[in-house]
Amino acid sequence: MAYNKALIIPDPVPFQYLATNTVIDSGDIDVSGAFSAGLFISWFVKDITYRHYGGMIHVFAKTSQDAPYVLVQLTGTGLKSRTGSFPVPALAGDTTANLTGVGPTVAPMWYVVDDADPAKREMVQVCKYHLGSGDPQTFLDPLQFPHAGATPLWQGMRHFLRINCYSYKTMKIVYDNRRWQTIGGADVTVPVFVEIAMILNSALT
Amino acid sequence: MSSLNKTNVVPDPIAIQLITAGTAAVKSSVIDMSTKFSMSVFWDFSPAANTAGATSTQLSMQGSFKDAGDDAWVPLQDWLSPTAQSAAGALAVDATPLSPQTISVAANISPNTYILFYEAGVIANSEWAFVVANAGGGGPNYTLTLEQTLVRNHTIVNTVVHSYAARWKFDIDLSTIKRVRFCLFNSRGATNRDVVCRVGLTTLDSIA
Repeated sequence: MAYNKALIIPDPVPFQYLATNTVIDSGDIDVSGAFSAGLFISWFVKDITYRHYGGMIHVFAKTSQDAPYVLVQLTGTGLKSRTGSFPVPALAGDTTANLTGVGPTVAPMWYVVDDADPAKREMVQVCKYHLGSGDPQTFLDPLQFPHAGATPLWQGMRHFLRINCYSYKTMKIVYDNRRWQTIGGADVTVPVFVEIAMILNSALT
Repeated sequence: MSSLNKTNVVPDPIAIQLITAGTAAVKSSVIDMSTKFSMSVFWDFSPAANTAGATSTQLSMQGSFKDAGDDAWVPLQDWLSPTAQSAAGALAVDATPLSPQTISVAANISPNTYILFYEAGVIANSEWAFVVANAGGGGPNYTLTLEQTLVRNHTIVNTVVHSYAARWKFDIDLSTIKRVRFCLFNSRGATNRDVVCRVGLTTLDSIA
């Protein structure tokens, strides 16, 4: 016997741009036959101002129509997106580019390429340390799409969560883009890109 | 009674190799895990240069929920190497499997640490070992006792012994992962150094 792993289609939280103060709810997900769930989270902050705290991913178990039980919560802390842009058009298949506007940074680091065409927005992992604006960047994987000059990029994160489903039948996922605060506690607004994909392991075959 | 079926993946996802300072990434091939239960990842690491103030080398174990494509890789676990400066030293006499557990080396290496017999000429002949005792003797003749017999011959001419090597094992659940790959990043800052790495893999495949 081996595992059977099924991708949930569509994504519980499809790849999208969220204005500040937006809440996305996956709705009820039937996990009554599942052993476990894997959540693949991509999260990019479209703001270059330092944020002390904010945004939250809630994963809930539901046993009735009452308030759900929290399984996992994930929040952003100390976030400050670095941003850059392609000074010249980038081509699909390119593995390097000279980004402008990106200062010294560590590698590896995730970015979202914020193409004007939402269908061409893609995530890249920069994997070479660079000293300053205009220095060559190396991507771990080739670009999937061409991008016009001046297309911006925003720094972000990717996370994986594995959650047992042995003892409850319904799950839901909520991304809450409120509660962003500065280090002084003042409320601020922060738009983000977010995507949460999900695999359910539901059979031994 | 059921039993478990395991596979030692051959060849290694990342073969033993020298990764020079500033190398952006070494990627393994993509490995199909669509029916697997779990995996154990074995990372062997050693400095290959006596560089002070070095930046860590990073192993990224990445998983995808997709059956194809490179647009959905997510880190399952990342791990950083130590940054301590290697106390490299030459062998005082050839080390062989026939004189297995004691070697004589110029470096004063602490017990209960890993070392690498680094053979720059043929990297694949390099070998990790675990030091259990250092009887002293002073350079260039520190007498080290190894935990087990060496596998290969290492000559004075071909070998440098590096300290602050390491070996790790990571157990990763694959119940919701379709594919995996392994990436080594050695350009994480301005002071990365030459390193030697290998990534091995065993998978838990099925119950029969």
